[in-house]
Amino acid sequence: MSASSAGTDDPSLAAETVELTKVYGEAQAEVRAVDGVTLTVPTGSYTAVMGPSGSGKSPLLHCLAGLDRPTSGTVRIGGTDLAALKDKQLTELRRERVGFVFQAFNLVPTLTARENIVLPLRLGRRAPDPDWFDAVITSLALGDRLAHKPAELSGGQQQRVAVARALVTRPQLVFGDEPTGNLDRTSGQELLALLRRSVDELGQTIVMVTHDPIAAATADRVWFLADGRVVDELAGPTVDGVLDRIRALES
Amino acid sequence: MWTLTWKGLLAAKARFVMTALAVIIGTGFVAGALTFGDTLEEGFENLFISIVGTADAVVRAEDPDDTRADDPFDTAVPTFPTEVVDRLVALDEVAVAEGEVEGVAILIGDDGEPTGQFGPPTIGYNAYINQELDPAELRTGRWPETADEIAIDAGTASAQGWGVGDRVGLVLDGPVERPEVVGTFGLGDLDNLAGASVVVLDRATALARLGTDGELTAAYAVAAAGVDEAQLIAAIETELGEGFTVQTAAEVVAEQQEAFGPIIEVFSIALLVFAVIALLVGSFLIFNTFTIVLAGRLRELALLRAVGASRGQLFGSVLGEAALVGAVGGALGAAFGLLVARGLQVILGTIGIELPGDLVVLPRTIGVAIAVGVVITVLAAIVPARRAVAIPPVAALTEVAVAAPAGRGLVRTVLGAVLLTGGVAALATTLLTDAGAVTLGVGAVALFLGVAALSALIVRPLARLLGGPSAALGISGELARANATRNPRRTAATASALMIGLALVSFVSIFAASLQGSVRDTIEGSFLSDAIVQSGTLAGVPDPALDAVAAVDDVEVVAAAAAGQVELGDRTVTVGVMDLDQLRAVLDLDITDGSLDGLATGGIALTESIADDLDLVAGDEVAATMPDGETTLPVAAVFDGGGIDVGAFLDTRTWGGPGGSASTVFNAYVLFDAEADASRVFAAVEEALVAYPQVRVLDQAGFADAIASQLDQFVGVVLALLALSVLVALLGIVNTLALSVVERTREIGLLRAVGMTRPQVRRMVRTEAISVALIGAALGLLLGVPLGAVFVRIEQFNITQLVLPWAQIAIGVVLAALAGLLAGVLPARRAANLDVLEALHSE
Repeated sequence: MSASSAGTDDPSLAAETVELTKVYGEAQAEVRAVDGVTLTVPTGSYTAVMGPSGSGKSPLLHCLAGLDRPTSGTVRIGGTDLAALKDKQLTELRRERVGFVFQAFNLVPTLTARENIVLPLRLGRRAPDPDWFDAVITSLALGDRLAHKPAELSGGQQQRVAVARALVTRPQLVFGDEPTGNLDRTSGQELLALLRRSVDELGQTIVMVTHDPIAAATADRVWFLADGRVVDELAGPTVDGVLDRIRALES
Repeated sequence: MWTLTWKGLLAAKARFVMTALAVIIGTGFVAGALTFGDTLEEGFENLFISIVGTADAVVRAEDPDDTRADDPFDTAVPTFPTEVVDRLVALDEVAVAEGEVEGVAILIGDDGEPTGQFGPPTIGYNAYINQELDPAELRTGRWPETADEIAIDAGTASAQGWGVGDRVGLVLDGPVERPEVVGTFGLGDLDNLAGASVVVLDRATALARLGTDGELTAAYAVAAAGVDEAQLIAAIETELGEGFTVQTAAEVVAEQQEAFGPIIEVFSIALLVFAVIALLVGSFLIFNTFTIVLAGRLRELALLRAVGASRGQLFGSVLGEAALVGAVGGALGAAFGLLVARGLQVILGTIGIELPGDLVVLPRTIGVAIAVGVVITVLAAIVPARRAVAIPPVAALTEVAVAAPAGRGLVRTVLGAVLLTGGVAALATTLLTDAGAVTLGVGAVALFLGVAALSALIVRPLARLLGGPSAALGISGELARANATRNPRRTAATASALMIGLALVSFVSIFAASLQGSVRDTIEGSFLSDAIVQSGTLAGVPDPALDAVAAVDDVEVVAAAAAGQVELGDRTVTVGVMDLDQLRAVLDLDITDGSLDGLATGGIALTESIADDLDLVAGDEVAATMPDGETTLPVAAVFDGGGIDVGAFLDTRTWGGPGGSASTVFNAYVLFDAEADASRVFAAVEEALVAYPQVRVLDQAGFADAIASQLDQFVGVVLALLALSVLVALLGIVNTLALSVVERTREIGLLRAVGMTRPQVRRMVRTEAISVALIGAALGLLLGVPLGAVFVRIEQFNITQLVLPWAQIAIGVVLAALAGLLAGVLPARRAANLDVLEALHSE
């Protein structure tokens, strides 16, 4: 675990949390979904987050991505303390500095693939950088699909469009929430390869929640969560290594 | 299944609030119309009973010509001498008797205008000798005793701010005078009777000056102890003999009620028409709500099918929901109807028309409201229900998004095309032949249904057309436009509701503008007179006023135009009665057949539309029922009646037989010396009429303005009532959008996650609302403008020109857009306030 207590605007850090806690419910029904997590996400790293259901993966991710507000503790993205941001600023931060790939329903059904990809830019009334757009499209092999509506795309193609949308703003962080969860094996592996390439070739930073040890093994390191805490960390993971850790945690 | 119905309702109760609101507004107007009618009927019955008061028998002179009984222009009442009352009193069967003389007495307000203006009657009658027989009850002061004293009804007194001791303007048979008010009175609980102003004069003055030459118009008798009604009537009939009608109090009440019935009916029917429009618009809303709510419950329905519910059971359960919503809406609508009826009373009361009676709510009214609510809701829910229950059970088990099976689009399209074609054909027929309003009406209904059926096809191109400006709003505008067209049928149904309102508004505007244009046209083209003297009351222009105008220097012709009614065949026609030479001098009629010369020898001149209706040409003869009985009139001429407010002209010598019979003069056309300074002469005419505040003098433009402003008032009332149907349509937009927002919760969550701000979400939803409203407005204009344009061509309306009031129509469209904006406020707020995470993870 790369614990860190300082370094507010260290350019080598894409994001960090300090004593991050998220509590749902009150009194008897209180659930500490995230319980005092302190961690850092170095720029250009690819991190997988694993853990059993209810371990706090999603709440951690949501707080880290500015989708939810922590109960206590600090979240910084690129040195910006999210707690200080109003809803509008938080929205703009998500639009400009964070990319999302969800498990499903990633795309707006009324917009074409191209329109979906440039949606965050259009929302900010910015024009896409044509060279970067072409680079992303080429790298995701979406060139001949841009005029199609989501309903006319396969599941794998839809997820690739989602990745393209996540990358098109050159965000500081891309979050994946089970991005391969709804895909068949082949499409899933294609997508994982794409994410890997975007880290290696484009210098992107990715944090991805997954259940799948194969997916986790494509990352640089894996955090294991249980009961709202990061209980273990594995650098340079392999499928077997991941499985071993999971078994160890379960016993 | 009943449990299912109940649970289904509870689960979606918020969504049904709007449906229920639509039902409430529609049925509310039905209930309001019925309650208002019932209240009027009972109120007037009580009023008539109280007017007859304690009398057991009512005596009146027999009208020698019964044919004029229902002529509204005939205000002359047959009279009899005062001795008749003495003969009644002398009878053993009579305990007490009272004579009454009733006539016209016009109160002049402190502003110099007659109270109540045109419309409500201006009545004067005598103070009673036996005051216990007088239905009027003193509120303040006492009854008048001298010619310089009067008592007035409390309603008029309070409206004018008059009280005992004030001197007020009064016109009887001569110029205005200023007697002193010595008392105010009411009738039972009422201060005033339907806006009429009532003046009580002392007996001698009433007999002398109410135009009866010292005679009475009615006598009331109370039976002596032990004498029953039949005996009393028989005794009076025997005593008085021929020439009198003697009626019991009940008979008089019944007679008056019968005379009043049609007026109440017209009122109720007019209200019901608007109620039906509101219900029609509401049914679109109900249809939409059920479609959307059921679409959201398809998986549940499929699951129920999978565990063994039959289609019939599900269908019944959905219709049960509809029936429940309809019943609840109808019941609340009945309550709302009370407010409507009460509101009408209050509104009429504030404009001086006080109507009698507490609200009469019959069980029938509540029953009708509930029944109408249930029937409308169930009918509107049938198609969505059939579509929803057609879901295959296996849909419950599949992971793919569930969609309702597509409806029978082809049937709908073909039906819509047929209706549209039929409607256009009916319009063309109306335009090219002399087919009347009925053809157009049928065509209009076909057009409405056709466009409604096809609207789903028109929505996309329309949205593209109207969406241009919304693209300027950036991605929010583009998404809004896309959202408006992603479910064309839903948008179409929502917009169709507004379409009906906008179509009717543009239709009425075109009709009114064209009518006003024609009236101006005619007045400029046909009216040769320099000034028009017009009566401000139903009493007409008095002869001395006409004489005063004639005496003004440089006034060459004063052409008095009396109005009367004649029955020609099966038509009742309002005739203008004028001296032929004067008619020619002041009116330049466009004669299309024959010549006016024949009027001098007892002929009649008819407008083209009436001549066509009765299949008459110049030279024919027509059977006519005139004031003095039945006769045959030669048709002397046929003229283009555009803008002329009577259907026929007769010479004064023809009206009422040799010697002529007096009839009320409503207008007099005044011609000046062509050499004279018109404005100076006009001022002199005004000066000459200062003593007659009940008449006004207008120049041509003023006359046209006066007619136009009357029409404006009428149009204003119609538009206000149509606004209600627009209101229902707006509820529809609110409802559809709110439900769409619920459906798209997840999508909105996604948009928020990738960076859409709350203001952008709000703008997106509001823009969609405006788009839907504009689509509805566009469809409405597409229907209303052609319908209005064709309608004014129908000959019998005598409209000579088509005026398209673009400014007014543009205002309508802008208001529709604003209304759309308003309708979008709540759904937009709801969408913007969604929690991003919850929205992302909603089903």
